[in-house]
Amino acid sequence: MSDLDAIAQELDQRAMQVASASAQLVRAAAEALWTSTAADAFRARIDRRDVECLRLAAELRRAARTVSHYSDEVIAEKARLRRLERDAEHLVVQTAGDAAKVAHMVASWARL
Amino acid sequence: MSGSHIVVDYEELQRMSAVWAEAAHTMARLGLGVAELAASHELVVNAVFDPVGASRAEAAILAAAVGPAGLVALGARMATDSLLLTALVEKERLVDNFPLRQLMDVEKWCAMLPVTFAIDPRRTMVDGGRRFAALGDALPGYLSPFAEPLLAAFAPSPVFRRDVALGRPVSVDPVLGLPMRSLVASSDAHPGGVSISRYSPDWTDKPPASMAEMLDRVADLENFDGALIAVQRIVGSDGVARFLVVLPGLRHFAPSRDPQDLLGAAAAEAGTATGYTRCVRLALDAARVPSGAEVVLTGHSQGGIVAMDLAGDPSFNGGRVRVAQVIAAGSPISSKAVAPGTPTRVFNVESVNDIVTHLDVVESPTAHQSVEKLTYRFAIDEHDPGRTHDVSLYSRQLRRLADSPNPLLSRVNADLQPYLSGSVTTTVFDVRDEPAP
Repeated sequence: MSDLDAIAQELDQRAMQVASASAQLVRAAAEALWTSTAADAFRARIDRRDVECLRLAAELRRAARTVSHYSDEVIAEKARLRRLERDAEHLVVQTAGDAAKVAHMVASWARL
Repeated sequence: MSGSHIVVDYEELQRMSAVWAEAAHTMARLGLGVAELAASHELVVNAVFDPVGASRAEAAILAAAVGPAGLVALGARMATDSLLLTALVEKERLVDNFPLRQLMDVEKWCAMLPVTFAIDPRRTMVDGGRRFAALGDALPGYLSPFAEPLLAAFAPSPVFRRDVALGRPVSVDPVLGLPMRSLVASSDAHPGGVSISRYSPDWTDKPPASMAEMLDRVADLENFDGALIAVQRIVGSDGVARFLVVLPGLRHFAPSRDPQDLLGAAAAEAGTATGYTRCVRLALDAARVPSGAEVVLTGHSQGGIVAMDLAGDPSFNGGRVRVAQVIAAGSPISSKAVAPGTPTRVFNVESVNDIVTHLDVVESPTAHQSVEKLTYRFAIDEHDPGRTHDVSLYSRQLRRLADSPNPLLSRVNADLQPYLSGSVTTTVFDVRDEPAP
C-alpha cells in the first residue's frame, strides 16, 4: 500500500469518527434533556447538526476517494515513467552494441 | 409549557451547553487532524507526477477540514451555541436570580431609618429584622450554584480547600479543619431503636404510582410530629415480595432523642454506620423482611444520605438485603458509592439552588451519566432555604418529568414497575437513638 493510500484510509477513518461523533452528540443530547419542553426546543437544532455531521462524513469519504484516485494516477504515472526509463536504457544498450558492430566492421574493412 | 407560561429550566440549557461544547471540541480536533493530512509530505512530493490530481486531493481535504462548511467551522458553530447558552445561564444565575427586591427592601429601610426610627423605634427594628431575614433567606439559594468554587476558594481550612479542589469527599470541617468523624462520633455510637408507630398513613395499602408519589410518602412522614420510617411490602403479580423503605430527612437542628437531627445528618454524611442506619436494619427485622429480599430505598435529605450509606455497606446491600434502587432527593450524595459488585442503581434528584445538596462540596455530574448512577439537576429558587429544600418541591419537579423523553429515566422507571403495583402492607416505625426501655 502506498503512502497516499494510507492517507485515503486515514480520511475514511476520520469520516467514521465524524459519524460516530454525530451519533454520540444525538445520544448525549437525549440524555441531557429531561423535560419535553426543552427537548422540543432543541430537537431542530440537534437534527440540523446531525445532518451537518453526516454531510461532513460523506465529504471526508469523497476526499478519501479523490486521494485514492490521485494515488492510482501517481502509481500509473510512475509505472509509465519506469517503462520509458527501461526503453531508454534498452535503446542506449542497443545503440552501443550497434556502434561496436559498426566499429568492428570498419576495422575489418580497414585491414582489407 | 405550564398553563399559560413556559417553564425554562436553566439546568437544561447548562446541560445542552456542555453537550455542544464537547461536540465542538471533538469536531475541531478532527478538523485539525484532517487539515494536517492536507499538508502531508506524500501529497506534496507526488504532485510532480500528477499536479492536477494533487491539487484536487488537497482541495477536497482542506474543504472538509477548514472550508466554510468544514469540520472546524462546524466546531466553531457548536462552540458558539455552547457559549450563548452558557452566557444565558450565567445571566440567569448572576443577574436574574439576584435577590434585588430583598436588597432594595433593606436599602429602603436604611434610607428611611432616621425618620422611621424617630417615629416608632420598635416597629422600625422589627421591620428591619424582617427585611434582613428575607435577604438572608434569599442569599443561600442565589449562592448555591457557586458553592463548590466559593468553598474551594474561601473556606478557612486549607485541608478542606484541598479536598474540594481535588473533588474528593471532604474529611474535615470547612472552618477549623477538624476531622468530621470526630465531630460526629457521638451520633455514630447510638444503637438505634424502633417500635411500631400509631401513625397510619392513608397510603398504607396502596402501592406508589410513581417516584414522585414515593417522595410524597416521604413528605407525609416528615410532616408527622415524630421521627418515623416506613417499610412497605409489595407483592406483585409474579408473587414476589419486594420492599420499599421510606426514609424522611432531618427534623430538628438541635440534638434530639431520635436520629433525624443535625448531628445524625452530619454523622450520616461523614460515615456510613449511624443510629439512623441501625434503625433501618431494626425496622427491616421487625417488619420480617426476609434475608436477601429486594428493596428500594427512597429518602429525602438525610434520608437520602442514609439510603446511600446502607447501599454502600456490603453487610447490608448484598448481605441483609439486595438494594435494587436508591432514590434520593435533596441529598448531598455525590461522593458516596454503592457496595462494590452490587447491581444497585442510584437516582439522585438535586435542585442546584438547594444549599443542602452542595454540603458534600462535590459537583454532581451533568454529562456522561449512566442508569447505574443518574443525577437529575434542576434549578428552582424559592428564595428561602427551607422551601427550596422541601421534599414537596422535589416531588412536584418529578411529576413534571412524567412525559420526560430522557432514555435513562425511562429505564429507571421501567425497572421500578414491580414496585408500582400489587398488594401492599405497610409498617410505620417510630425511630429513636436508643432502644425502647
